[in-house]
Amino acid sequence: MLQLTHWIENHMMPCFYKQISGIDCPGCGMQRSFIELLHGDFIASFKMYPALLPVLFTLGLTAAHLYFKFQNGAAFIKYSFIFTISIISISYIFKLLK
Amino acid sequence: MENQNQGTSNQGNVNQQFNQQFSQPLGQQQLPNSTAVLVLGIISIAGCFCYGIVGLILGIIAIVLAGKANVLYQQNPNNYSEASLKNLKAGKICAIIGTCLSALYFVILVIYIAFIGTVLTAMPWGDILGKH
Repeated sequence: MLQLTHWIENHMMPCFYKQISGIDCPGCGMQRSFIELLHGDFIASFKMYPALLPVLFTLGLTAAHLYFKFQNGAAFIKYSFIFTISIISISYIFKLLK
Repeated sequence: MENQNQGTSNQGNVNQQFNQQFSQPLGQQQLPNSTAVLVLGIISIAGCFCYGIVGLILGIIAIVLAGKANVLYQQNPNNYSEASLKNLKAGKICAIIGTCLSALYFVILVIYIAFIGTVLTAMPWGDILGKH
């Protein structure tokens, strides 16, 4: 686990957009936030990038739905997706205004 | 002999019940690509943050596949199961949202690069470099 965290810390993808313009893109902070989550620090992860947990939840829900075939899984995935997208947009706007 | 016959017929009944309860009726099959559309639609948000292009490509592929599958469904609505149709619709909506966001982001990126390019080409490089 520690080795995995270490490997991810040393192999982070650079953000092309941030390199050119110096402004954060909507996905910036996700990898740092994921590393905080791997360290077990939920609060720091949430402060760094609030949308990480909804994104992971949506991906997990999709995988579970494809595997177990829930009754109304598709509708849940849809609402979860819309929720995630709105969280991402709102947090990005807040980050830009700061 | 009779016992054996009874046993086999019982087994047949049990199998029939099992089929009715747990599996789809014969003749109903999954829509082609319904899971692929769902997965592509979900992944298209992940692609929309970092570069914009990835999400755009995935979303467009998902929408095209969903359109094809929808045409198939309209031709034979009874042939395909309802669960796969729901998957398809959810995937299509996710793909549309993801594509819109990535397209927006991509357009902003292109405008930004064009703006920087114009500024760089419009600057009097000859004068600046000549003075030194």
